[in-house]
Amino acid sequence: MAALVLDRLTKHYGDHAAVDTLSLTVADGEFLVLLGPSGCGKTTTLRMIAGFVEASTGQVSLGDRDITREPPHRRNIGVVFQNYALFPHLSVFENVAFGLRRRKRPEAEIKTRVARALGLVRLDAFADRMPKQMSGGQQQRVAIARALVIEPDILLLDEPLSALDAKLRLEVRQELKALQRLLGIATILVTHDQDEAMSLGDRLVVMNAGRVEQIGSPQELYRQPASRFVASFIGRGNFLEGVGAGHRFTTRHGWSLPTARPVDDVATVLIRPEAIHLAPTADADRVPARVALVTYLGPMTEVVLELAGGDRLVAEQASGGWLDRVEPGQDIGAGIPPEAVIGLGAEGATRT
Amino acid sequence: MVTGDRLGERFGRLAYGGAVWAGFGFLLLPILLVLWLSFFSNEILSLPPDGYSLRWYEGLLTKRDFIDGFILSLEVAVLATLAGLAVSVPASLVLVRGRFKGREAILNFLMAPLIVPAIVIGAALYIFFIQVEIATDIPLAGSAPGLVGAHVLLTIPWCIRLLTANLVGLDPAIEEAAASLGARGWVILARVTLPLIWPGLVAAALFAFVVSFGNLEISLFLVAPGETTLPIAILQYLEWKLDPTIAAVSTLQVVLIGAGLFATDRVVGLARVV
Repeated sequence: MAALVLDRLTKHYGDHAAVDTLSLTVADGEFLVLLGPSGCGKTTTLRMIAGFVEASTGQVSLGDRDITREPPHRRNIGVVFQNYALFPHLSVFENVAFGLRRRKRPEAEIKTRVARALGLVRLDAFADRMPKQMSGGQQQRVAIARALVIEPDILLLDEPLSALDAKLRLEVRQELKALQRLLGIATILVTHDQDEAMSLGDRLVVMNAGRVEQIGSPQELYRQPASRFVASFIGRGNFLEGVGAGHRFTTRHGWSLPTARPVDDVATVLIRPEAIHLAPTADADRVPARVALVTYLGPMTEVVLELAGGDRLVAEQASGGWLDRVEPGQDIGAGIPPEAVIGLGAEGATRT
Repeated sequence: MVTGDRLGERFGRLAYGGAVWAGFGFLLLPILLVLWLSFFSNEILSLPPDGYSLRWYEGLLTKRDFIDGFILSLEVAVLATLAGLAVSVPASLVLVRGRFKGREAILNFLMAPLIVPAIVIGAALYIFFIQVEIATDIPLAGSAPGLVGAHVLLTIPWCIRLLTANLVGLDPAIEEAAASLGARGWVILARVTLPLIWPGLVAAALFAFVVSFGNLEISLFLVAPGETTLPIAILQYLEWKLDPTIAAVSTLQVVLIGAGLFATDRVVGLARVV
């Protein structure tokens, strides 16, 4: 059964639709990520699910419960905030116990459940501390324990890692993923960080201007983005503009390349940098290309190529061998497999 | 560094220190003078004093006007403070959290008693109360509820100022977290919001109390005959006599309020909230 269903959820602020007829289903135990630039409506969506913002129209269902008009305190949803939002006047123990006390659980049960929750985030020894006395990473783990201890129907994470420094962010991210798998709790994370989205999400929802741009697994979104917006938001890519017809795409500069799928009516194609195969010389499968710039990145080397017609491509290939000695101005060969040429829909088009 | 600069720096520091102490002196001198006067033994104020005694303090115990006035002022100030807080806490919450039309207007309206001269408020309220009495036969002028109600007007601006200053610094996500954990509105208020703005609440109560306790202008119009607050008792006494009794009463009042400020500072740290 679905843990959460959003049905044509909409939020208007005046004439502006912050979230526009958004429909979405989160499966039991699924880790869903709402991804998009700031102002795309991802946070408003999360806040409507939590009940902090009232939906203009549409419906939010938790299991078979319609909670669209329920106040937050009756929803049984765990929320983790960007700035932790711990109760600064309460100890770590009382912070975690807060939800259980509201549920009038007996003292003995509260003790064991709080201890178990703090154990999950490896903070058993910190129960008597005040939030102020802890690092940002520890505070966020308390916030996670506090949200989980009430056994919520769904866990909502609002950019929970963005206030942490880079190293800590990676650590808490892995911990979060392990915890989510262990507990099997349906989870929605909101973020603008594609690495975070790719590494955590079972499915990603890319949002733009209040609408869903595309929904899919990280692999689907990377390999088969529906629009240029999705393609540029997830990973890097070469975008070539031109005209498609059948299995052939011709760029503005007149370069014609074969495609695996038909590209009728396609005006833009995407080629991922690592999909381009470089070789020292051109041959039947490789077009001649002149090296414009070489950047050594350790395991990978990035090469900017100029094609005869004027098209520019960024290619990325494992370092080593002849590639280590390549220099700007040199002529090499670039192979582009037909399946690496991905036709993109028009801007804003939705395909799922 | 050149010697001249160092000299200039030293002079600057001295001048600054001198100005600060002069300022303190200017503020404290009248209070210290009153304190000193209250121990003079002669009835007619003159310098130097003939000697020192506690007779004016002893005399206070027999003066019903002052004792009754003190009690009435205390009662009015406590009630006006509590009522002022009861109005100001919800008002501050809405004013800080809400984004609605007329928000600024409401804020300015609530701050108005600070701007309108108290004597004008007193006169206006008196006329208003009389009109109400004529229309409804409810005797507001000269009644305790009327007096307390008028003092609430005085306490509101102070409470609103101090409470909103504290609420602005409170992250709304903390209250949302409480809501998501199952706390309904009033539980959030009691368990999260109020404990977190506690320093502002204490400071607001203290300032409201002081403003109400020391008010003369509004009370003058609204007390019943024979029922006087302490400032009015002092004024009436001054019309007939000018002996150190007044100095003794004032000294006690200064000590009382000073103790309140000191205690508040120890509990919440006044410098943080005002």
